[in-house]
Amino acid sequence: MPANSNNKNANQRLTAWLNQGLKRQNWSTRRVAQMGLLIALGVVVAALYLLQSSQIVTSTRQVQLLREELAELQQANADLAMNISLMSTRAQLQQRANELGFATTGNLLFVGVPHMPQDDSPSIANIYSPER
Amino acid sequence: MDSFRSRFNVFLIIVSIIAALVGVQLIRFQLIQHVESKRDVPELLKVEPAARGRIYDRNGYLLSGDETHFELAYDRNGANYGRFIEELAPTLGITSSEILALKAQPAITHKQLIKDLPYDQGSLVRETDVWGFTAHPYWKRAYPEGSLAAHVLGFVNDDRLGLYGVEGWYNDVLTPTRQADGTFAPGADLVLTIDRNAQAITEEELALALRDTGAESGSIIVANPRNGEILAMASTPGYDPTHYAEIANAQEEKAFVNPNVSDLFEPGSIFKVLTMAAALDSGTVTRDTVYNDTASIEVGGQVIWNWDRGGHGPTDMTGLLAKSLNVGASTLAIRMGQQEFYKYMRAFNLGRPTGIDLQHEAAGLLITRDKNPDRWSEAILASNSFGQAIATTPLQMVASIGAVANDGVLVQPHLVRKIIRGDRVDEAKVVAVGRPISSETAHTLSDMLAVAVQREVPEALVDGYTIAGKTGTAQIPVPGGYDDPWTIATFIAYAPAYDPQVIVLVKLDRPTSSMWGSETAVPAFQRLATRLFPVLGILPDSQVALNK
Repeated sequence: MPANSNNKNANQRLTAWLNQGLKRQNWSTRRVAQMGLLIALGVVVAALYLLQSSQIVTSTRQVQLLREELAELQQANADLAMNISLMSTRAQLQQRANELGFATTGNLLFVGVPHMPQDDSPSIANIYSPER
Repeated sequence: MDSFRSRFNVFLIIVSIIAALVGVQLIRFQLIQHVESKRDVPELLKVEPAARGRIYDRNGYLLSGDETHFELAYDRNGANYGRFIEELAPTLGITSSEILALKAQPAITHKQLIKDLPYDQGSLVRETDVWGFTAHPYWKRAYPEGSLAAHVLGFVNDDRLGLYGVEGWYNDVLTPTRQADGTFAPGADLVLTIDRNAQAITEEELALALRDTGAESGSIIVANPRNGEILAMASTPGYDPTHYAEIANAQEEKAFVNPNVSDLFEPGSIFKVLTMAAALDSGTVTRDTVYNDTASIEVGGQVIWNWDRGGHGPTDMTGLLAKSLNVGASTLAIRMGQQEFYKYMRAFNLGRPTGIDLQHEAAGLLITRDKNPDRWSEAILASNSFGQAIATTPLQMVASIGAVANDGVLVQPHLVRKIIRGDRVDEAKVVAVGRPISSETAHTLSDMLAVAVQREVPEALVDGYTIAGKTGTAQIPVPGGYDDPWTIATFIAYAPAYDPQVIVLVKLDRPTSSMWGSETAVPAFQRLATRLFPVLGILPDSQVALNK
């Protein structure tokens, strides 16, 4: 017997088997409800899955974009911080002071001032030394 | 009907199996792999790790920090040569012929065109977004103050590894850390105890001292004896950490080592401060004790001479310090006995690292009868009393004599004041190593040292300030003896003498203008102190007295 006719017979048998088994008139109302519930459940599960998957993909992309933006901001920030530092190096300040006409100090003369209030200028004595 | 039921049941079983498989997969994707995928996000995104922590001076000026550089990469796939030549090549200094040559070579599919683009040019490439020409950002260490405090800072190599200095010691702290969610947090920032201005003045004055004295190298340490903070630490020859690779390529790595913590030397006469501290504190002598100074003394078969080979007759303890008499120092050590003498030297933490937060600190060398019975002799005890046959680092001398300035309490020197990680700030605590001498002894000795400076080296005095100090002229040991006539000239001093807020060590190696510390290191100290004290906000004695 040719192979094609064998396949054809097999398909026909499967179709007949399903048609007979799924004949609607043979289903009870309860069975129909059960089937409907089952299909509805499957649809809900599939919808939930798709929803979550799409949310993950969207969130991941958002996170990616935000991180790229953060990285760029950090790079820009580092560049700005370095520029500020370069503008306030001792050499730059010295040059600026010279341009403004400041001169190097000569001999300092200390004048004792009774009850001189403590100032806020950096002083090892009043700021950095530990309590003794 | 039975046939229908059995077939329907088979159908239901199949559907149930499929549903169960879907359910299992859902659980796997949503619960198990979801967590894993979150963990893997950074790898997928290829986000550039965060920057290394910055290093600031004590007043908030940046000394070391990361800046963004870019690498310009070429990808043949779809490259838009025309647009690149028109919009970017001129700005980047690339000729059109170079690009056209690239275009004509199909074998070259990928190539690094420029290794180091500055931030503005890299940003331009990124914004212009020409297909096939991409700017990849990366972090590069920069030092805004150039070579300032290079030995303190160290450097970061191309592998982003901190080496030498605080960059090396705090490498783990400065390096960005990988967090639980896989992202990178920037490294912690460090605030040093170094004062940028004090450091610059110190380096300038050290350079001047080398020029004036002909010394081949030198070191200066400025510290707060009260809490061990290093305010400035200079040494020559220095280097520019930005160009560390050139030094490394020239096989001159020794330039990276900080001599203040790594190089050993015989401290010479500045060591007499410690010998006197031990003698006073142990009750061996008082400041008024008088001994008969002869030109020389024989100890353990070795004849020890005064520096001037002269005898000074009846001399009190202040006179011993002022005239820096080796015979007197040896006499004190012998009277004390080796056990008592070395007990104090150990209490001053000699022969051990100070524990400063810097790489490659040397421990020094202290030969005692207990630990080195074969090498020790009475002659070594006598030599130790005036700083010979003993090896220390400059920092060890600052720390141990700093204890005299700090009412007898020895504190651990340190370079980092704060570690800042986000909102969290960890402040360095003062670590008291011990109390080698009493407060009374420390005050007595400070007064003696102040008198000694006024009497013998008034050139060290700074208007308005009392200064306690001691000169040193040490021979340089070489195999088989000493490298005569070369010396290491030193001066160590603290001020104000009666309320010390700063201690300074000046050390000049092999000066040619004079071999004596009093003629080389002392003038250098005076110039330095005159500039330094106002910058550090140290009030003159008169104002301190008025405030009290």
